Amino acid sequence: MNNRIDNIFRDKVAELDSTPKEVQWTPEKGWANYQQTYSPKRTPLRRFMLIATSMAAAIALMVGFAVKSNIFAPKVIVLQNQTDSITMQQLPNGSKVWINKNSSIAYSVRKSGEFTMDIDGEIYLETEGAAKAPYTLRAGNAIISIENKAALNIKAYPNDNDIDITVSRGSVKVADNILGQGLSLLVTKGNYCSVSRTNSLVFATSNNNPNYLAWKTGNITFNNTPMITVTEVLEKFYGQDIEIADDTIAYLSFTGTFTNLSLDSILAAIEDKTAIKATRLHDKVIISK
Amino acid sequence: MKTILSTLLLLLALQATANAQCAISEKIDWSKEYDGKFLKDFEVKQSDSNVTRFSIILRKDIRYALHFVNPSTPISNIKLYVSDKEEYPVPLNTQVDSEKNHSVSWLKVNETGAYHLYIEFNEKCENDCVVMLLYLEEEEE
Repeated sequence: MNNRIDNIFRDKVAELDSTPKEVQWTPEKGWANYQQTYSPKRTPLRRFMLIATSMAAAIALMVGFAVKSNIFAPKVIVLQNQTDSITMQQLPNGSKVWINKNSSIAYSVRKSGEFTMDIDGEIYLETEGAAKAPYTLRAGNAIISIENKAALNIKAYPNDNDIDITVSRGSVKVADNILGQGLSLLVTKGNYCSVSRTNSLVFATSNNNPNYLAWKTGNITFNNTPMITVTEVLEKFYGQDIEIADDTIAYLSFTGTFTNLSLDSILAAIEDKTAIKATRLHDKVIISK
Repeated sequence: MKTILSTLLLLLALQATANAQCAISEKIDWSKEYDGKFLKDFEVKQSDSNVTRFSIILRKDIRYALHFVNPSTPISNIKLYVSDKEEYPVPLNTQVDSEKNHSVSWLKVNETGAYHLYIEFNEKCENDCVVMLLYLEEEEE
């Protein structure tokens, strides 16, 4: 195409055989000038460069499209528990996860072994053996890294102020993504860690709550526990408002263990062992003398 | 008989009061009690080792205030120590008000990172406890 245009232009220039005397222009000069401006030499190197640049641009476009369309991202599996009981799932990397009611996880596993999981609600996770790559769990602004065999409970309900991580086997590292992942606390077996959703506060200490796994095991234990704490545990576990009508009984201690019992059965057992009464009034349970 | 009964009742009442003093469950809105931005309350119960450890991430150039309230023992029986992750002690400025049974320790660290707070009960007494309140008093711009 370019050659044809060049030929037409050269013929037209050759036809210009008479120019005014004051014009310092000749068809030869015009042709040379045209060639210099519009027909740069197409050396083999130039051709190679042109092809290579075009190919690079095409590849860059394809990669950009692939990244934007998440073609290289691993598949994300979402598990939601909308049933009225807890569910247990075995994950592709051998880990086991128990998901509480109204809770969900979204996880992905890369070929490298890198495992990431987002948690909403409450779960208990048991990982098996040393991981090929660290497991990264995200719950709200908490980031939990697991490198070896571990078992932990994560409570991260959106309406709670804190995200609670209780470790029952092995150890994990906990960080706040606002403070940065480099600033983490090592939380070992028997300890728990709390990450504030609002204050960038991360702390860990020994776990004194024997009922942190009650949602999974159905076991509720009280050991010289003040009645005010007993009612708080029962309120959370059964989703029932319980009010202590008389302050003098708030600090009476109670000891007992219950497994998979109804709230009414537990209240009856407390009534038997202590001098208090539990009465249902409208939507509340009232604890009185 | 009457004397024994009244002594028992008195002991029960004292026990109930002692327990009542340290429970966070009293639902006091601690956030309004002292100056600064309230961060968290912790109920610290005496453990077998006499010392309870908290690990916490503290930020540099911030003055934290640690208030100890509602102890079930005289406030002078409770000591606070702070160390960095290498267990080097961090200096504290502490004021004890024995009359109000309250103490406050101010803390400022030079490096953001993990620190350990140790709360020690001087006398071994099972179930002794205290409420520790963490406030952020000032933040350098």
